[in-house]
Amino acid sequence: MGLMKILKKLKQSEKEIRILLLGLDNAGKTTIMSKFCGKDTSIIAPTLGFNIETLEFQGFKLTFWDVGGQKSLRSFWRNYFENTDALVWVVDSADRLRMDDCKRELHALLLEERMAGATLIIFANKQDLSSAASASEIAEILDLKSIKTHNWLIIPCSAMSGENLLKGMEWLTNDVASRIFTLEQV
Amino acid sequence: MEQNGKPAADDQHRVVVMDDLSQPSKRTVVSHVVQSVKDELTQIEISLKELSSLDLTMDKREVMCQDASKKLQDLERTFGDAAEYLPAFEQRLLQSRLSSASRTLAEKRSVMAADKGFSFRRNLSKARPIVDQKIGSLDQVDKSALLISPDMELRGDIRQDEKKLKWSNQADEVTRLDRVALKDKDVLLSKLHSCRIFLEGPCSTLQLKDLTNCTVISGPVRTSVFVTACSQCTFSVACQQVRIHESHHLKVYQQSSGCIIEDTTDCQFGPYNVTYPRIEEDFKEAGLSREENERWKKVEDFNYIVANKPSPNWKIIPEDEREQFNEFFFI
Repeated sequence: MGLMKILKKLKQSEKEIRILLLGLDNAGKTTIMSKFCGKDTSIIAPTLGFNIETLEFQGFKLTFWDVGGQKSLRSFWRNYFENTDALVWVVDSADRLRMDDCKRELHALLLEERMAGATLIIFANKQDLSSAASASEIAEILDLKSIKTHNWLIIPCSAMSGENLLKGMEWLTNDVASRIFTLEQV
Repeated sequence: MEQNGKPAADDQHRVVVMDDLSQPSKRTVVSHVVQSVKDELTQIEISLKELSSLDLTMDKREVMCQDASKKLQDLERTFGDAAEYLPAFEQRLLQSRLSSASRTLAEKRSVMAADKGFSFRRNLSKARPIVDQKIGSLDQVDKSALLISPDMELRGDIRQDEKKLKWSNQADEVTRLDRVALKDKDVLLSKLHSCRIFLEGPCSTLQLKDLTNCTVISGPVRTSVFVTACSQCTFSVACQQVRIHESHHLKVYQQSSGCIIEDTTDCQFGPYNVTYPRIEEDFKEAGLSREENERWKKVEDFNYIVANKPSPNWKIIPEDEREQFNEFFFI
């Protein structure tokens, strides 16, 4: 559609980055997004469908797509893959019972052609919980070392306190920017 | 958006629009996009209506469903690309229309599924590993795969589960844990049969797995309560979110920002109903406030997303059958 082409040009000139937030249900995707966007995080219900937020960050326009992680929604994730610049994979670090599910879903996702080249950041969320696994433990369990198709980083964080969210997003923005926008002046 | 099967007039209309936009200002582009999204959405809404009103064959309905779903996806994408350019009001309006269309579609699909055992399948057969040319050499990958750690207080690698309060593989037990035992703890109760547990204090998170014929009464939980594979149980919890999976025959008294069930049947819900001497303090500790509102009634069933129609998998406990729990409950 022609209008979209024009919009895409605008998008390039305005340096937009499209970010997809995925992960198992109860990982804290919506809370991370809301916290990062400076919204109230005290009342967050399980996501039935998806949420969108946009904000300006370091001269870039970030568009977050936060898609529900319930089992019955995961088959719809693929509808959101197109044009994704970065994937934010959120892990509930205290939920050791489902780490295998988490690993399987992540690795399946990375096989997706439409995700090729997307920057990947893994938020080891819920570090405020006392039984949370450390980021290096999670890196081990999720077998992140085997990922050679994406530029990735794992970072411990707490969506409740906001700890490390900024750092993670900075890395992500820089990584995407260096990949997409370096060839253009601006 | 799909080019095929569109009436010619529509295309012409677009061409005109394009001409107008030879020197587009952002505003005009945006208003045209909004208009075209609205038009498309109206089309989809109409065809969704047709889907229920017309007497169609199963095949025809499925084709229509697929078509609508494809269009809706395209539209969501367009909307997503355009979202940030839209005025907040338009954005919200369109988003709510889009999600209500998605819901209606899901509703049609679940009706169809009931008719013929339709299921969503993950189509992984097409996906294949990518040899990425962009990233290239191995060192580059390894360099980037760093763990940010020095100034970040990566808590020690050997984080044992000692901080998790686990209780499992028991039958016919009665247990009571107090606030000292529970404070800042992540609680996991699993593989219990015919047990009664009173968590008299605030904990960080609560996981219940493989419980049968148990009663779990809990003080306020700071984050979420996660229930998996439980049956014939009664739970009473106050927290941020309640998620119930693969469970059956439950009575759940709850207070939360949102409660959902998935692959779960025969659930009954009532309002949180626990009192014990220092519970107000525990509410504060957990960052929650005692609610007198009706939010506990808003339970969403992920296997039955139908606007304005209650799921057959859960119901509300009649007022005169609701239980109350206090510190004397187990005595």
